[in-house]
Amino acid sequence: MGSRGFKRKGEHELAQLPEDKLIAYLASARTAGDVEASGTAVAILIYGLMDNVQRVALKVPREAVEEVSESVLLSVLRSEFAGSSVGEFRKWTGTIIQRRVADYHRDPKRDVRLVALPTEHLGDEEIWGDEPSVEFEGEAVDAERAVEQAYGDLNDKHQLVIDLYVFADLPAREAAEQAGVSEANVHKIAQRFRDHLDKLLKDDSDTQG
Amino acid sequence: MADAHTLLEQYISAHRGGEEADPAAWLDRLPDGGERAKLAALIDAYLSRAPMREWDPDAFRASGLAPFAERANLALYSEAGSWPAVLPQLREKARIKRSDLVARLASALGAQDKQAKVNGYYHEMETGLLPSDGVDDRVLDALGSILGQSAEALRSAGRAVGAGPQGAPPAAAFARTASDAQTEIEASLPKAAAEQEWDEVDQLFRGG
Repeated sequence: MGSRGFKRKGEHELAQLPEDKLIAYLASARTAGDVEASGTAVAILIYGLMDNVQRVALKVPREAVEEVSESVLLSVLRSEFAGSSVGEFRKWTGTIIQRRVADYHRDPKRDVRLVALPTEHLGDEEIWGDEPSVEFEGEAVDAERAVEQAYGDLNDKHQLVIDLYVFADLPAREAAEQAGVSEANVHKIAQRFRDHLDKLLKDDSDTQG
Repeated sequence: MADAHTLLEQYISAHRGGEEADPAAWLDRLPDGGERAKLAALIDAYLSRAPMREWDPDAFRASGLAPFAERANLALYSEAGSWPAVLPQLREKARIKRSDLVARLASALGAQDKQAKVNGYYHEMETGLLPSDGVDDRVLDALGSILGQSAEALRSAGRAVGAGPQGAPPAAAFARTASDAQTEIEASLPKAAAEQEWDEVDQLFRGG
């Protein structure tokens, strides 16, 4: 039974919702003051995001992973996501992770869970971008940028091949069928992506050296 | 020694196979340097694309995430911003027992003889029942000093989120969703501070 016009969903039904719909449901539950309903949505969302949030472990020292991960999840829950697709939600979550990691590196002694994002209620990346922050610089960020560039330099079809074959770990034949290319091409595209990435990082290293 | 691309394949295979796949542990397989940074970036790209974990209530409980999820949910409604989610964690990080923290807080506020009342108010802070606007800077200075954080940061974390629930704050719902441990603490507390005579402790926690 819902409250104030809010229609509660069952746990099973909630578990089938994509991220953007789940967080929209959470916002509705909160507006209606339905603590129990939002609690179920929060649990499903937090559990569902754990793989994505594990990225934090790649960017901060081991002893700070829990603190920064919790700050990311709190920001995701407290912010108002304005998008309407899983892709936008992923991008928005990625921005929050970057911001929280930057907040940590700006002042590791301060508990990052206490750092309020001035635009915490906004999901617009341009507005996020206006906030002062210290980027987590160094080899790690250079490598992230190189991966983005190597991927971004591919056309849509080749990006799909990388998503399916490299990142989703599908067999080459299945990736080929889904992307509409030959199996041999899947291998070639993946190798070109790896070679391009290696070259970008080598060039970057030569420039700095 | 394997290169970053090979280790990425192995990591993805382990992760998708449900094995323990701590990204940091996989990075430790390479020495510091460019190849390690490349592996970190590739794992990052993989995890950013990973689908939501399929809901599994048993695995969720076993993960230890449930208490945090409960506090995070309370923080969505509280008049004390993220205090319910953050204060217990800060206390744990500082390795201070709650009773010790309350004793030190009462002492710092010159209210040693009213420790029970300070305890009641601190409990309300941790459960999001005490509006942060009413808490005096002296309390946050003292608490920040105990927890190793600035009063300003505590104040900032205590700001409520916008677009909250319609109507009255669901205080009753807090009681419904409180964990067993919280309920036990609550039962052991003295009568609600508001029911007692207004004094300097009330002023510090509610009149700030």
